[in-house]
Amino acid sequence: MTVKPTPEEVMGYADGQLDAGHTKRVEQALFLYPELRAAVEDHRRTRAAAHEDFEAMAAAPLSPGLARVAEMLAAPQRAVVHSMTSRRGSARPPASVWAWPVAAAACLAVGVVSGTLVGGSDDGLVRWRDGPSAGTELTRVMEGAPSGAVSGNTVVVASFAVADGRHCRQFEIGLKPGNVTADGVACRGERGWSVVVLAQRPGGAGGYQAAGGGDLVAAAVAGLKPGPRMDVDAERALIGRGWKN
Amino acid sequence: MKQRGPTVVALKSMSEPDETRFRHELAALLPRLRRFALVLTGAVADADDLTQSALERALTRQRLFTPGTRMDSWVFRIAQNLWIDQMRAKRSRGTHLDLEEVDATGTIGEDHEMATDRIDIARTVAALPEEQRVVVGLVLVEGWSYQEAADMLKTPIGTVMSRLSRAREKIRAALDASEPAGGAR
Repeated sequence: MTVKPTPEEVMGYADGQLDAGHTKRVEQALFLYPELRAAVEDHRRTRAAAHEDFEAMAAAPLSPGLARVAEMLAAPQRAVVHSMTSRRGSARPPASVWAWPVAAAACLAVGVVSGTLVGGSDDGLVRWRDGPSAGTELTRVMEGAPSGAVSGNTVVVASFAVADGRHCRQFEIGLKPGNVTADGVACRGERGWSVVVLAQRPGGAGGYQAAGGGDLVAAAVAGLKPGPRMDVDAERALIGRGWKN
Repeated sequence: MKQRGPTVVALKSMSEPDETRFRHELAALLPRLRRFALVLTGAVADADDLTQSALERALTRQRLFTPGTRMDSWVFRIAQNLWIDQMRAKRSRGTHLDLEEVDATGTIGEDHEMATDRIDIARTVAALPEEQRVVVGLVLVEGWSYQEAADMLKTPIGTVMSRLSRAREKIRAALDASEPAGGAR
């Protein structure tokens, strides 16, 4: 005598979850009970519909933020400030261009990203209408995030010491409004972290370049007379000491 | 003194191959994680935010991952916990389906009947209790076994099956309702 399977067994059969012996018993019952065959078809139908539905939704393009994370994850290595020579033939941008970030460095606290972003401009700098505000997420990232880790819209790409004894960190950041991707460098002084340079990447909204740092950033870093990049252990130790030597 | 050009800062790649491998495994997992997030959130924009948050958390907590164990289970659980936290914070606002994002898949207009089904199913799944939605995502969408889902959720397999059964009843009702009167699919 064939025992009628339970609804759970029928669902398990439809989903291919039963072992061989159990599968055989359910199949024997299916010959006898048409309603079970209909139930199997229903289960398979819901499975196929759900899978196809979300598979189709997943075909939508990635958001700029997620695309940036995907690029970072897939990169063979973390490329950072790799060249200080302009690809456009100039070793550094005109002084009038990069004087802005250097002059501003003294007063820009690393809360810059919370200001009202005006957006990019021809000179590649990122500016704010209302000025920066201090004590934001970026300070927290600079203070505690290891290189390579993504924190919100920010990735720290390297840490290094500079000639005046400060510790500095290069970072990539996605800014809104405007969906601007920017490269920046912040250094930690007596009054905490301050931005030395922040420059929009060429390519506009949503653009991503695996090699971080543009000419503006490169020039600003060069002006600081940087030492070599810290290794992971040295960086971790400094983070643990609150960036104190 | 001769003026030297700007110093080249040679910033080497991270010296930890394990970390690179970890990142690459996360990258390979991204499409599935995003699809799971779509089931949880019902909207592409929310799913992308959740996926990004889950990946970021996985990166910052990679030392907590045990090599040799299932990374997908670990990261999916991160995403689920993040989503639960977000839902608790936004409970009064409820869930929503971003129909514009569904439209962005390019299906509406090309195949109206299929697109209608998709909206109905996504809306139906978005309206399911969170514990049923997770099981739908793991078993129906991602193809996990009941046991794998039970292991990730740390719940008995019978609980997984009962949640799945209840969720299926509602999906089936949505499919039936989307069919033309008297027509078979």
